Amino acid sequence: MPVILVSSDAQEFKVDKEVAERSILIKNMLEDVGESDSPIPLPNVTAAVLTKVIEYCEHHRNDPVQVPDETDDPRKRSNDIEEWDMKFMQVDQEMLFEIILAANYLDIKPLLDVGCKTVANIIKGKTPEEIRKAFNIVNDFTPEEEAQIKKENEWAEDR
Amino acid sequence: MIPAGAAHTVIATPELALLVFAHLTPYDRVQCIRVCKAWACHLEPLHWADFCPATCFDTKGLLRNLPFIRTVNLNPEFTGVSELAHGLPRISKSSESSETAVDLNTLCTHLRQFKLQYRCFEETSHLVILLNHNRFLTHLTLPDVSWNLGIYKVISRLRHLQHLAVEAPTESSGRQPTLFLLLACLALPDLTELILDYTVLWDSKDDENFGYSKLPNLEGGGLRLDVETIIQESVVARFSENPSASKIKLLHLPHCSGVGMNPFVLPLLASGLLNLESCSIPWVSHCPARWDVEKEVLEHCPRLKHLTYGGGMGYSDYELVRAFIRGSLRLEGFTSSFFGSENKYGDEEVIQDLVAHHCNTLREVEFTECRRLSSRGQQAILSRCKQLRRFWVMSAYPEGSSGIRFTDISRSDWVCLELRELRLTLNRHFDVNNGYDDESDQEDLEADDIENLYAIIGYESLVSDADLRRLDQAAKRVYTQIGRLSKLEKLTLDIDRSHDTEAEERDYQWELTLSKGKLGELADLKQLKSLRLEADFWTRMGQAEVEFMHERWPLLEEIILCGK
Repeated sequence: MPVILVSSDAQEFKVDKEVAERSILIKNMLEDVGESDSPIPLPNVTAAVLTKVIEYCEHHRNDPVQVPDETDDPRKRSNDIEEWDMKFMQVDQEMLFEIILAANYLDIKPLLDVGCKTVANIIKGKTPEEIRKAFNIVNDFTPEEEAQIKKENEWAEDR
Repeated sequence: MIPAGAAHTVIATPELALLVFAHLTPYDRVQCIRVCKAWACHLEPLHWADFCPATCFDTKGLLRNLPFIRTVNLNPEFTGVSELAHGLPRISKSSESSETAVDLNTLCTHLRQFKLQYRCFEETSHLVILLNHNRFLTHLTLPDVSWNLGIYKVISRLRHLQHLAVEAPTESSGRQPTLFLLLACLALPDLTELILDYTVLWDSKDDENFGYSKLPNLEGGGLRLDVETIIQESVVARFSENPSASKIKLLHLPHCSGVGMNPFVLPLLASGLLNLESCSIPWVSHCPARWDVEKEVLEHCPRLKHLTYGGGMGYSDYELVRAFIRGSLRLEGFTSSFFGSENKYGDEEVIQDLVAHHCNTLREVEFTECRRLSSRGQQAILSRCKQLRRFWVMSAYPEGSSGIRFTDISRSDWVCLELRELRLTLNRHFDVNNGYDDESDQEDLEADDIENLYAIIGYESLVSDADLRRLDQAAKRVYTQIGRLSKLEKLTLDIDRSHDTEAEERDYQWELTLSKGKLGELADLKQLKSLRLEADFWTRMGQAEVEFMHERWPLLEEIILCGK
């Protein structure tokens, strides 16, 4: 049975229940509401972002439930992005962060992970200026302030 | 200026920023903090939560971020540690001049975890004050067990402590400090992990040498300072308030020298304090009570999954570790280092017990720092443990005899087809002394006779075509077995150097070539990500081998070539 999702800009999306249920938020809502045809409003997600999120859930509709392994070092796993996911995440930086926020709100853990890994991969090895450029951020530090904050925080060794 | 929309929201949401941070090195984290004021404001607290300084730094940042520090890890590489421990310049608001010294121990009051990796506090009182300031500590690691009484007293008041470790594997101490420490910590209601990694010199005269003669002698003061009494008192204290208080799940017992059997093992097993999931067994020189140990493990440790046995630097009695193996219901992990035993086949017997009792559950087996390791034992594990995910063998010294012989690998098919990580020390040599008389050998008498013949005539004399063909067949079988492990992600190959001859070294050089060697047998390792060659397997490799690896192992991320 399909479920109707409504984006913040009032666009309706008809998706299979098992696809929609990749979102734990929607899954819980459906369980709590019971049998009902009424559309589910998602006021925090725009149509553009919801389209992407649904595309992700469609592709991963048959994935087994993720069992988190706490012993893994997350830094090692940031290279472990599936090829399809990697292509899926090739969007402009505003959309990338929007997807992360939507995944967090909709409670889609694997999508949230992939999103955060992608951001981390963009940051890795870059200078502050390159990071600013990548994410459209204006530097509001004076050179002295930046040097000072660098000095104060550089105590850790790369492990 | 506030950074653009969604990016700013993500960075400003601590749980999301933390998810991104989890994938970054400390270096990259600092680059993020330098991006702009808003990022610095949100990310600095996350950066400082886990404070493990490696270099000297400007202390203003420390003072600003003190409230956010939850974990302190002071390691020996950090040269500024004594400054941290003994005095930071106080930053006054009016002028930026440094005035009175301020100690870390009067400032950090929100710690949850404190890890001190070497003794940087000259005065124990500094540490006492720090611990008193941080009553909510859940994890404490100390570099030494010998402190004054104040430390033990404050530890006994850390009611939230879950993990207490003394990590000093190369250090030794007298008996009394350990007894005081146990007295202080065993009664703590939440303590579930206790790691005592050092050596206790059990002869009490040692205590005077370590400056413990001045400690109050509790033996005269109503409580006898002996292992049994301390454990009994602790059990009463721990469970009197809360009968369902947690029990100890992870235990690492100290080695005790100067006494045959470790005095902590049986009293702790019988105390009711343990519900072990993981246990590190000390090496002992004599274990007379093996049946008692086995019985107590069976009765009190039904959830024991991981065993570690650290071999000492002398002959030890493997009966203690065998008793733990036989008493456990379902072991999933076994880590051991075998130095040597009075019983020449001691290591093989340990492995026989391990395979006989746990072949259906074992997932990870690791032999580290082995001076001697049975080849047939290794083959037994690989050919009987179906659930195995990791099999890792390291020699103690370059000449450590921990190889698995080609002829043993040829005996039976490996069943460990789920294996993900494999490190093998290969041995082409036939060792006449390494044989072991059991029934399976009787069936294989003919093959063994030939092996022994090889051993007698010596490797270099193996010149006839028939001999070489036979060795070649055995080698093919070895690489076929490895090649069947289609889920393998990490493969490391080393060679046994205990029979080191130049002729052998040369033969290994061709082993992984396509033309004369057996690289082709490894074609199906589609999941392989890491290949490490510790010996000269690679010196004869060329373009063809590189192309083969590129084509056959699509996931390969690294090749590490060691050896000469």
